[in-house]
Amino acid sequence: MNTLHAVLVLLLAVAVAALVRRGRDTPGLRLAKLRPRAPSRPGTHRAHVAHAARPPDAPLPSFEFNLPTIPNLAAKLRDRYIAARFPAMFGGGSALANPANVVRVARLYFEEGKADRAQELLGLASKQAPGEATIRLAQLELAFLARDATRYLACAKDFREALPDRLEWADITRLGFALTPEEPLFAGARDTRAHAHAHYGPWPDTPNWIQASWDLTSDVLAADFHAAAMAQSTEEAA
Amino acid sequence: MKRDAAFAFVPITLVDEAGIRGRISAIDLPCANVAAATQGFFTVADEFAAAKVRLRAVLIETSLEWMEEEKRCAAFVHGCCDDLARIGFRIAQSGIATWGIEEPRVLRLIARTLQFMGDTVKWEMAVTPGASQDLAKTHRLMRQALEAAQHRHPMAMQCDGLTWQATIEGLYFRALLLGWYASGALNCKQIEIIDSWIWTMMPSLSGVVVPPPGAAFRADLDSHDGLRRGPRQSAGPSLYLPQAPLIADHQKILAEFQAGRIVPHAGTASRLRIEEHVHVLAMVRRNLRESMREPVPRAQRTRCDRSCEMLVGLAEVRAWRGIAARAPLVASLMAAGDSRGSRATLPSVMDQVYERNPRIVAITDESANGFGLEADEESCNSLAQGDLVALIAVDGATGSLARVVRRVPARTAGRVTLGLSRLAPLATNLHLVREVAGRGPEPVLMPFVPGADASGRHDGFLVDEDMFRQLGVVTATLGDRHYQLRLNRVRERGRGWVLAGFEVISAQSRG
Repeated sequence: MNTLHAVLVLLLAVAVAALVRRGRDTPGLRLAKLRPRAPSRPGTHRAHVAHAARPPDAPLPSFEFNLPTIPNLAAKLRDRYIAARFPAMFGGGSALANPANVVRVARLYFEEGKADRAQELLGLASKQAPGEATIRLAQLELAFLARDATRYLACAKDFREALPDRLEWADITRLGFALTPEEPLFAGARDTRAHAHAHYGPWPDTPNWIQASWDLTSDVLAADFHAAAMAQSTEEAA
Repeated sequence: MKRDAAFAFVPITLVDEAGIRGRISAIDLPCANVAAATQGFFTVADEFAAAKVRLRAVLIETSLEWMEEEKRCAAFVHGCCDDLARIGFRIAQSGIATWGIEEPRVLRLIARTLQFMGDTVKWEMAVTPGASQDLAKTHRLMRQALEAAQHRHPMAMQCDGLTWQATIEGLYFRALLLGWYASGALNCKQIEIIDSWIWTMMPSLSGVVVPPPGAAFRADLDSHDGLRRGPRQSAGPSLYLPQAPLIADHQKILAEFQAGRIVPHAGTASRLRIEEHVHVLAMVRRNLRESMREPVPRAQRTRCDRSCEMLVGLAEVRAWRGIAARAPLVASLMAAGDSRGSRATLPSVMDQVYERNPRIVAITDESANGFGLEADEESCNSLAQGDLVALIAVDGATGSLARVVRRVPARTAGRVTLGLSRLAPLATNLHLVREVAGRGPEPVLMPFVPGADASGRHDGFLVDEDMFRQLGVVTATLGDRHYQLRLNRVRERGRGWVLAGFEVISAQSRG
């Protein structure tokens, strides 16, 4: 009986110790323990500096990350990055698998004046599914609407490389020509009508790859709701 | 989170604080032998750097709020950095006079001193925020190195247990950049993250003496000030730090995070929550983007001297209208059973039953964008950046919603200074109804946040994150119409709250 008690007490002590140790670790620390140990020698985080070859006034050579990728941990960290960057909209990488939803959320970010975040979201989704034209087209349209010629050109080149035979290429060159007429990639669109692309969203001459609504009813309803809510607020305050 | 009182007096005994302080004081004595003083400086600096790695882990990685012990510990780190920077500067001047600046020991001395100057600025935020930074000595060291063309001499430097290739110029800009970011808008963890990135960006911290095309920071070498923007108008030597390489570095760091790799992958910053990194990435991006535009004049601030009540968090904001109109207990409980549903009115009933201690704060200045406040440390102990607050006028009739963007101890002991970013006027709580499968209609109470114009496109509701995800379609009855709404976007977000945009799906007349 005494032996049984002793065994039970020992098991209880081990369980308590395990719980205490688990409680002490924050999720960050637990993740940190999975990561490789800190290298504390020069040259790990940066390019090696060729001391002898450097002129005395030259700046240090630019660094290049050469960080190890640990597949499972990288996926977890990427999920957590996505959840933190797009809070309440996406919980992780798997949520980016729905292109229609990604485009919708990107459009909403863009409408809120968060064009960078919209492009980052589309960029992440595009990396995850490189063959998905919907995402790439939305990226192009948002770059066009922001009049961001550099980004538009980069996205157009990527599109051409990844999806060379798409019919949308005619529209892409037409919009691209409007942004950067001197760019040889868009030279095929020289004879398109001037200013046919000067509008945001659902106009006959813009492709509406971002799936903006053609219907103005929701705008009318929003104004109506605003007026009613403000009337109630004024009433309450009185 | 507040640490349990039982742990309040457990001393942090990781390092021999008295011993380190004593040894620093010993090299501070007038010393005729520069070589001995230099050697003494390096020895103590190494000992302190090793101690700092241990202390930093305790102070920065904790998720608990700092108690007196941690504050004292941070003051120790700050004090030692400040002393070593001051002593290093003095010995460096003697070294330059004795051996000349080209002597490797002198260059190393300057580099270590600049490193301690940067650390002092960094820890100042935690210990004596608002203290005016006098960077005259920092500029002087850089000027001396620049004149002797030794500012780009590469040397290996240790920081947080890692080794980095650095230059005097890079360390100089590190100190200035830390001063730029340590204004109270970032907490200690976030400053630590910025610092760790600055070390990775060291090759880009390379200045030019003429204003470069594009955006650039400016350091006036004959001043006491930190970084400025735009070309210098007055005469005098200045260094310009072009921002294009910094933007490229920021993109590299961003790409690493997007691929699921933390930068740098070791050291204290790598063990902090990813949300902190994301916050800093966004802050740096905003900062760099702002610098590409024409400078926008800061919103005009008006000095104020008035008090108001501050509500903290979504629950208090939600209960606001109930507090304003107090009613007898019986009437309140009867009202709770009215047609709106008892769950919706319960918070206001509880507030009427239990007397609250209102949190009274003093508004010290106000602008179109925000407020500056001063308040008791005790009543604002749990407040942190990102918290939602509402300022209610004394008459209880009007309120403004804001988020905390800055929280630093005030110059007066026991007080804190808060910076708030204005979100919107606080309009009303709307009673909505949602359909829950298997349970029928369920009432929901949500603070309505009107947008700046009457279009309704910028209106929103304050909800918690769970509610945002799960709410689905809700119905609001206003006037003679039923509106069906769906929350569909996050406009702003902070600790425990979301300002959600919505779309009106349909509207129908009652009956």
